[in-house]
Amino acid sequence: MIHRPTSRPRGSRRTRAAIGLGAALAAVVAFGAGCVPNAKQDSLKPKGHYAETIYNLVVPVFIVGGVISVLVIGVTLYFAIRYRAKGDETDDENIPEPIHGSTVLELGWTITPALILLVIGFATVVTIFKLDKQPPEQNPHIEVVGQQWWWEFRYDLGAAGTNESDRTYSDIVTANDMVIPAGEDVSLRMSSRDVIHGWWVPELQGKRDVVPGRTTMFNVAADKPGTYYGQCTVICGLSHANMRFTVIALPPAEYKAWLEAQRKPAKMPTSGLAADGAALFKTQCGECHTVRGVHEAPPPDKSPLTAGAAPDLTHLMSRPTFASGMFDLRINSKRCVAKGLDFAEDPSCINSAELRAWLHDPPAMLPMAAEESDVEKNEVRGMPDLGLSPAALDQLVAFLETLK
Amino acid sequence: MAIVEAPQPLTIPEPAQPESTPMGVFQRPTKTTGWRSWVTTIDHKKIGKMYGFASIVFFIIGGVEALLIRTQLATPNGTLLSAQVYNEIFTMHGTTMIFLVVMPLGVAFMNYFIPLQIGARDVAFPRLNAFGFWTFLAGGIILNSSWLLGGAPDNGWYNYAPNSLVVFSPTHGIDFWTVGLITTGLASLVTSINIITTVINMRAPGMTWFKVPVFTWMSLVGQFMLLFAIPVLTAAQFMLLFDRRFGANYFEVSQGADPLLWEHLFWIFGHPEVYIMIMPAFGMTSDIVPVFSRKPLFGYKVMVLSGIAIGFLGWGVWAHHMFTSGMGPVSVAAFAVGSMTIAIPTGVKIFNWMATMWRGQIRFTTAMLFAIGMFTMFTLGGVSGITHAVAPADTQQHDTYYIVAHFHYVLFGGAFLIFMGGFYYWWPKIFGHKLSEKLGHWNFWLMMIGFNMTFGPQHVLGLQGMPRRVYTYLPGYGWELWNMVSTIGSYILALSVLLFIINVVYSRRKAHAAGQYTCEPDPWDARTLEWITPSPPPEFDFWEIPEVRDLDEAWHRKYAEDENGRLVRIAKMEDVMDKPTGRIPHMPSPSYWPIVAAFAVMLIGYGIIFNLGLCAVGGFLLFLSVVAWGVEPSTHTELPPPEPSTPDSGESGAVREIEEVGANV
Repeated sequence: MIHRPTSRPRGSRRTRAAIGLGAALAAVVAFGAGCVPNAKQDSLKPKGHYAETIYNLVVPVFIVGGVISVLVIGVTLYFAIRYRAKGDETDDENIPEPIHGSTVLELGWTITPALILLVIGFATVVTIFKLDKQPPEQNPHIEVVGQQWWWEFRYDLGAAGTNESDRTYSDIVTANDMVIPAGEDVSLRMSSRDVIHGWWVPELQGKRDVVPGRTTMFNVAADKPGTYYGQCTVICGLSHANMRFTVIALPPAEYKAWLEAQRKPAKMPTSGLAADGAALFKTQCGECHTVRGVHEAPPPDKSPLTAGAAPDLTHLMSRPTFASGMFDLRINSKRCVAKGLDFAEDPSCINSAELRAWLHDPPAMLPMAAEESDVEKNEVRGMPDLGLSPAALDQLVAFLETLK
Repeated sequence: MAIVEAPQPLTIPEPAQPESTPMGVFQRPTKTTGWRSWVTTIDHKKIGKMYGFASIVFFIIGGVEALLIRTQLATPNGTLLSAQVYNEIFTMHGTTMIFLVVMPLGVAFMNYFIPLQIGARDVAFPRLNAFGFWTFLAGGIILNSSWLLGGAPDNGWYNYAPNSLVVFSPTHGIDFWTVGLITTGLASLVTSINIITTVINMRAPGMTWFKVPVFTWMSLVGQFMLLFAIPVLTAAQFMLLFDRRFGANYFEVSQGADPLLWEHLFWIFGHPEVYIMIMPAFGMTSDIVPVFSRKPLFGYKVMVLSGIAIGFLGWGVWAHHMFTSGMGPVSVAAFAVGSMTIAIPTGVKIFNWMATMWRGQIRFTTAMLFAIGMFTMFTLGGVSGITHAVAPADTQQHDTYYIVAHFHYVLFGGAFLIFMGGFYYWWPKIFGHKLSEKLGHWNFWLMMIGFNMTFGPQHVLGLQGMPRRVYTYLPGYGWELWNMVSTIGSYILALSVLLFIINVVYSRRKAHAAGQYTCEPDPWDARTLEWITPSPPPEFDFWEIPEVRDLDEAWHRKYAEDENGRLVRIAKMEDVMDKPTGRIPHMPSPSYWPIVAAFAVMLIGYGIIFNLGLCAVGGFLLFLSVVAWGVEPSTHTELPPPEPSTPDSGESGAVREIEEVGANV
């Protein structure tokens, strides 16, 4: 006769605690995932049909995965409790029957997962090819160029039917904020000027790497007008974490107007502080920055590190952010945000203070050099400290504020 | 048992004296105690201990790096670490944990226990074994010396080109990464040759392939993978080295190179690498769960074959690390399907472990807790892995904290948890005393809580758009809460590791204070062959090489079926263990040359980074060491009689009592 002990073995109490804890943890995580405010890059809240396609595929997979996890862990914990050694653990009269195989079970738990994976695999392959379809020829064509540590966006307004290899993507050149028409698929050509970066705007699309020496075709779309946030996802050096951008989707009519405005060159200011600023711009900034209508920077040379590839500033004041999307150019108040991309019409909506701080000492605002000594030697990857006097800053800011 | 005549100690016949005696420097060392015995040892058990100790030291270094990462990321706009330092820290954390912790910890257990599990006295090439350890240590030193010599590598553990080239990474950090890992790669390669040869050639009589314990089997599969994977990594690293140091253009885009070449080469190594890391862990789980369920492993053959299947399939999935690289939908689809396929043999293992527990008699020793922890946490990591295999989903998950969560669940929750289990399980065999079970339970639960709290929320962070490898993040993206939770979890995890160290020290002190340097051979009522030896085993492992009749040979010596077909105990291990035979088997002597050769390799490594003249010096020393290695005699020609063992030599107390009665059963 087997003597059963009256006290519950220690293992059981702990196991119950484990189950309770695990369930609580899972609940908290599930709750937390859904209820976080300001989740600007939430891939679980798709706002464009590509991201929605991904979401619709991944949700059932998560559910299947969740069920499998709960089953495996639950059954394991059940076995742990049910088959725990009771009483004397060296009871030599009750050695469990050495059941150590079952062809039926082995086949069962090989074939069942295989079937589940077959279904998932089929859905996966179908979705891969669906997402890979390039948008129609007449849709917008934008080139996404990554480089340390900012994003350039170049528009090609060539006619539909133009060969991809003939497109120059030079009609409009902008940075940090990519403007697209809402509700339309946008064709993207992805490239890099130096190292591998990753372009990701979670609410609209999965990510795609930009690889130097290669161009790949990609796509993006936003269902509704709005601002969608993204950042670089491949470690690319010092300021990888600061390499941000936004995608701004405009209603189609506004997008057309935006295109028209962007195609126009800037007007050279003729008087006042702004004119002085323009002259200063040519000497201090012109080696790298272009403002069409005022100054064309020399083309970037072959070396990936040197100056020459800096954001085109022709319509700087139409962009809500600057410096790799790290700083607001448009004051972040309800009133100014409501003005959209025309915020610069109201000078009080321009973040002149931070713009000025940036011009004064860029390496102090964003890490662009590994060592202090590099900064002192002005060996930065990005905008160096030009040693501008307060008067010079006044002039430059005045000039830049004309670039609407 | 008939009493037979006591066999006489083996007398070594006088060899014909050579014309001249060898030069002094080619004599074998003779010390069996003290630090010299450790630096010249070729004993797999001592080498295993050194691997284990070094791994834990590197684990603490990597753990400190992790705590720094988590502290920096606890709040947005963290200021603890600058961008540069942060990039170095996460790179070193990953590189250290993979190459200097998980891999060598697996090798530590393999080194100690594979010979014991197969009934051999050592590995096939004992000096090569020692060389492997010292070279691994040299690699770890080279890598970590970067902190003091101009800065650590800062481009992630997989170090993509072209950011790894000199123009983007002008300091020596990347060179330390390259040279350090070429060095550890050399160690891995020679060790894989050693272990493969050992398992193929040195199994005890009667131990056919399907009687080999699963730990040894899975380790073997992993070592085969390593044999083929390391050369790919080494080739890629030589290419990078030549680009950086000698002006080659393997990855120079302006000269027509494609950076994806690095990605392919790296991941053809990198994916098998993760299976290499998990294989010994699978094996350990398969050894431990049956012992503490008091039932044989369910589906032994399937477990072995699924491991082999993973060993092959693991080569066909590498580009799932490149789903977002723009390689085209056909490649993406092929690798997505391949990655799902490999989930099948993996899942099968989990079900077999569960079935082992079913209808068993489960004892919740610390080792068993860790084993159950292993395969439950590994399930979670595996499920998130399947979600990555869905390539479109991966375009959202890749390079985010969701991936970080996945690989920590499989590597920490999978491999490391069962290594902890392995410590608790095998500690009495290695050291002659158990670790405290009470502290062990606290260790386990604290680790489970800390681990889940650290990495669970990271799934959420990734899905909410937080990329990885970012030294800071902005407020207003919804990431504050889970980053803080994750950081707190990491501190709890650190506490649990501290508890383990405390357990090690406390248990050792307690045992030695009570005069306990040895313990019973089989404290757990286990199943495999290492448990028939004394605890700890003598230097030569087995007095008599066992004859193996069954899978789980040790178990079948203790238990058999009675006339009713029920299992009953027929013997205690003390009766059927490996007993002294009165003659000490002759073992190869220690040797200086492995450590000298490893030192030479280290000189070459530093020479590549700093001064090619040093390469010449190291090369010459290496040449000398190899020659010496080849010509040294197998034993010291004036070998003194074997010294009686003392406690600090780590030898078994049983050796002291050399009984001259009776032959082994």
